[in-house]
Amino acid sequence: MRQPLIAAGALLTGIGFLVAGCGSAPSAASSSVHKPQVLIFYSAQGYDASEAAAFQKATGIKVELSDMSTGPLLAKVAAEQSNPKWDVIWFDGNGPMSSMAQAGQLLTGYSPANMSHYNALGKSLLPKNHAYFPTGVTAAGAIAYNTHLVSKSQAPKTWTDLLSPEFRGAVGMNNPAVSGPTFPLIAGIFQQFGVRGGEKFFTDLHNNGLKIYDTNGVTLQALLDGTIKAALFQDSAELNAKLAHDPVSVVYPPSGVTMLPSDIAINAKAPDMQAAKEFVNFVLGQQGQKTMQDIGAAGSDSLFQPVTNEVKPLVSRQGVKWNVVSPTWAGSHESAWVTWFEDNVVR
Amino acid sequence: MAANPSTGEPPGRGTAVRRWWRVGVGEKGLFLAAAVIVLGLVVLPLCALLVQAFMPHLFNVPASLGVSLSGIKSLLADPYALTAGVNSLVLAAATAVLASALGALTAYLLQMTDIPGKRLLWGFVWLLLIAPSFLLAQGWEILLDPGGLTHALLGGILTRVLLSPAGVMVVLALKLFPYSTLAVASAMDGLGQDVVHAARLSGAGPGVVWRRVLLPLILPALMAGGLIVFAEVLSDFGIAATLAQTANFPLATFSIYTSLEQFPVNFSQAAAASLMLVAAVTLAQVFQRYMSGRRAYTTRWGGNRALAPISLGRRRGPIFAGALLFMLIAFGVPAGTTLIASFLPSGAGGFAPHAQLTLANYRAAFAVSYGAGAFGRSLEYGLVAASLGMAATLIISLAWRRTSNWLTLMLQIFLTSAIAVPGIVLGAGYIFLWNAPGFRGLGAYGTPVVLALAYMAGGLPYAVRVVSGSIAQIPGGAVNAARMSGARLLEQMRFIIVPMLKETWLRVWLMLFAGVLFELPVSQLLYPPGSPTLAVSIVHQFNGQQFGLGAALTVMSTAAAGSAALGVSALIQRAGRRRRPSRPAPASDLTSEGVQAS
Repeated sequence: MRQPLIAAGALLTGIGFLVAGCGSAPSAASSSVHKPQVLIFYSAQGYDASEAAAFQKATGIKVELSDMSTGPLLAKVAAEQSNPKWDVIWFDGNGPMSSMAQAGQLLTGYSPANMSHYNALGKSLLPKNHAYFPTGVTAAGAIAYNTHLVSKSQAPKTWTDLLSPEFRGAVGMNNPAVSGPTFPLIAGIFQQFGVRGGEKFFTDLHNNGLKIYDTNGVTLQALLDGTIKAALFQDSAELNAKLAHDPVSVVYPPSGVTMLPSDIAINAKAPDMQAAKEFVNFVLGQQGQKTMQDIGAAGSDSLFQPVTNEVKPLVSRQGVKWNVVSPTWAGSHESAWVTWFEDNVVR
Repeated sequence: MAANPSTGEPPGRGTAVRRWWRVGVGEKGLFLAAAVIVLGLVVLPLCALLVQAFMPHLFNVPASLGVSLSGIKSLLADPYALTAGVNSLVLAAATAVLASALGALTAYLLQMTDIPGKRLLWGFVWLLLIAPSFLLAQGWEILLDPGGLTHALLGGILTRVLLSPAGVMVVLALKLFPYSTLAVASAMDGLGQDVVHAARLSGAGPGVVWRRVLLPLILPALMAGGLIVFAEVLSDFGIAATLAQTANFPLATFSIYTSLEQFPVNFSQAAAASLMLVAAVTLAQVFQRYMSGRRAYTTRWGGNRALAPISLGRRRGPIFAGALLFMLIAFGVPAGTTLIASFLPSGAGGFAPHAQLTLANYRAAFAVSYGAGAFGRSLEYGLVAASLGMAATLIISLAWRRTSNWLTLMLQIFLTSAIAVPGIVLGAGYIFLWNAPGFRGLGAYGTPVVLALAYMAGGLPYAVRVVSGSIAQIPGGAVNAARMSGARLLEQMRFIIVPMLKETWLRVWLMLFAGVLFELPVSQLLYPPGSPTLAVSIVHQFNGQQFGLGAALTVMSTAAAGSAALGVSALIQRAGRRRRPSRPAPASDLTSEGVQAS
C-alpha cells in the first residue's frame, strides 16, 4: 500500500515545486496591491541604497530596491514590458529613457514640487513632457593621466594630443559593448568631429596602440600601475581616484566633453503611483540631493555635477564645456556604431 | 495497461485493480513527476525566451504570434556575432579535452592512490567550484596586466602566452576541471576489486586490466564531465567579458550580452544565438551517446570490495608537491590578487606600488548597508535550493532509469544542453514565463520562490548528469532482487540506492550549494526587490569603484563558504573510509598489485 503513496508523494513533490510559488504568492501579491505604500525601485546608481533608506526613514513608505548594472536593468525592464512590476527606475544615460518615453512606458506630465529647485542645467535637460527627471550629470569621458609618468607640461590638453608619438601604446579606454558610459563618449566624439572624423579619430587612436579594457575599474587599474599613461573614461571614476590620492589628474579638453545625465522616471503603469511620485520629489529635494552625495556609502557616483540649487558639487568642474548629444540621434545609431567600434577599434 | 511483469510484484497481494494502481502509479507517477519538474524548471522558462528567435513579438503588448526570422537574420548578418560563435565552439571543445585530462588525473590521484593530504587537495577542488567566476576572472586579469607584478618578474612572457586564445583555454580549464574531477571520482568510487580479480584470474596483466576493464568503466563519466565543461565554456561570461576581450578573442556569451544590453533590447537575436549554443551541445551529446554505445556500466554490486588504493611508493612526496602546486596555481593565484586588493587602501585595488596594507576595508565591510543580510540570505537560498534540487535529482534520475522512451530521451538531452545557455538568458526566460498572462496571477514573480526555482534549474543539469551516471552503476539485479523480496520504492531507495551512492549525494549537494552562493546573472534579474543576494551586493561595491571593500566582502564570504565546504568534504572522506573497513580486503595479495599503476 505504501508504494502508490510514495509515488503520489513524488508526483506531489514535483508539482509542489511549481505550486510552492503559488502558495506564498497571493500573500505577496496582495501585500503590494492592498497596502499601497510600497515602492518598487529598480536602479543602477551607487547612491540608490542610501536614497531608498533615507526616503523610507523620512516618509515611512517601504522601499524595495532592485540594484544591478545598467545592462541587466534594461534587460529586466524590457522582459517585464507586458506587466511591469517597478514604480521607479534610475540610471545613467538618457538614450534608453527617451526611447522608453516614446514607447509610452513612462509617466508624463507630472511636475514634482521640488522641480522648482532645478538650476539652469537641470531645466535644460528636463524633457517638455516630464517623462524623466535629470538628477545629476557626469562627463561620459574625460582624459585622465598618471602624474608619476606624465609631467604637467607633457600632459594631453586636447583629444588629438592622445595621437602623439609620446602616447604610443599608452592610452586606454573601455569597451562600449561592456561599459555603459562608453557609447555616449563615442557618440559625443562623433558629434564633435562628425561621423567620418570621429571614425578617423578612433582609427588613429587604434593605430597609435589604443588599449581596450572592459570597465572603468580595469582601465583605472591599468592607468595606476603604469600599463598606460592616459585614459578616457567616466570622469566621476577619474575624480574618485584623485580624491583617494591615487596619482591621477583629470583633463577636460576645451572642445568639450559629452554630458551624461542620470535620469529618474516613473512607470506609466506604476503599481504604486503615489509612492513613486513622492519618491521622485524627495530625490529632487534637499535631503534627497544630500543623500546622493554620501560618498562613503555610494562611491564614485556621488561626484556628479548637481542639477539643482540644493547642493554644491563635491568636486569642482569649473570651466568645463559640456556637449549635449541628442538621445534620439545617438540612440538610432547605437547598434551600428558599437558594431563599427568592435570591428575596427577593439580588434 | 496490465501490471508490468518486470517489476516482479509478488502475486496474490490485493485485487488486480489494486495491483494495477500500485504498479501503474508507481512507475507512471515517478515518470510524471520527473517530467513535470524538468518541464517546469528548465524547459518552459528557456523556451519562453528561445521561441522569440522565431516569434519576436510574442511578449509584446499586444502580443503577436507572428513568425519572423529577423532574429536569425540579424545574427547571420552580424560578422562579430558569427566569429564569436565559432570561437566559442572551438574554445569549448579544446577546453573540454584539456579539463578532462586534468580532471581524470586529479580524480585518479585523489580516489585511487594513497597520495597524502587528500583532504587538503579536495578542499582546493571545492574552493575552485565555489569561488565566484568574477573573482577568478578578475584575479587573472590583474595578474596578466602588462604593468603588474608578474610582468615585472617574468618580463611579459606570461602575459604574451596567456593573453591569447590558448591562454584563455588554459585559464578556463583550470577553472572548470573540477567538474570532470567530480564526475570521474564518482565513477572510480564505484569500481570494485572483483572486476580486477576476475580479469587477473583470466590472465590479464595490470596494463590490460586498465585498458580493457577500468578505463572503459570510467569512460562514460569522463565523457559526461567533458560534456559539462564543453557546455560550461559556452555559457561562461566571467572570462568572456575580461580575459577573452583583452586577448581580442570575442566569444558567443559576450555577443549575447551585447544584444541584451543595447536598447531596445534585441531578445530575438539573443535567442537565436542561444539556440546555436543549445544545438552545439545537443550535437555533442549525440556524438557522446554514439561513442558510449549501449553497453551497461554496472560496477556496484553486493559484496563488491572497494578497490585497494594504489601505492605511489617513493614518488608519493613529489607527486603530492606537484598536485599542491597545481592547485595553488589554479586557485591560489587568482584568489591571491583579490586577497591583496582587500588589504590595499587605494580606490582601485590591485598592485599599487608603495601602498600600505590596511584593515579598513574589512572594518567597512561590516558596516555596508546594502549588503546587510545578503550573505545569510544567499546561504539560505543555497541550503533550500541544494536540498530541493537533490530531491528533484533523485526523482528524475530514478524515473529515467526505470522508464526510457522518446520523451525521457528528449528531456535528458535538453537538460544537458541547457547548461550552455548563459545565466542572463535563463533569468530573462524566468521573467517572461512567470510574468506572462496565466502565470502572473500566481504572483510568484518577484518573490524568493522564483529565484529559488531558477537556482534549482541552474544546478539541476549537472546534478542529474552526475547522479544518473552513478545510478547506472547500480546493477538492476540488486534492485530487482529487493523488489522480488517485497521492498517498495522507498525501501529500495533507503536500503540500496541512497547508501550505495552516499558520497555522490554529498558531492552533488555541495556542488548545487556552491553554484547558488555566488551566482550573479540570474540573481541580478530575479532577486526580490529589497533583498539582495551576496553577489549582487558585492558587485554593487565594485560598480561604485569601491574595489577594496568589494574584495574584502568577497574574501570574507569565500572564507566562510570555503570552511563549510571543507567540513562537508571531510564528511565525504569519512563516509568513504567508513565504507571501506566494512568490506575487509581479501587476504589474497592480488588486491594491492591488481591495479598497480605501472
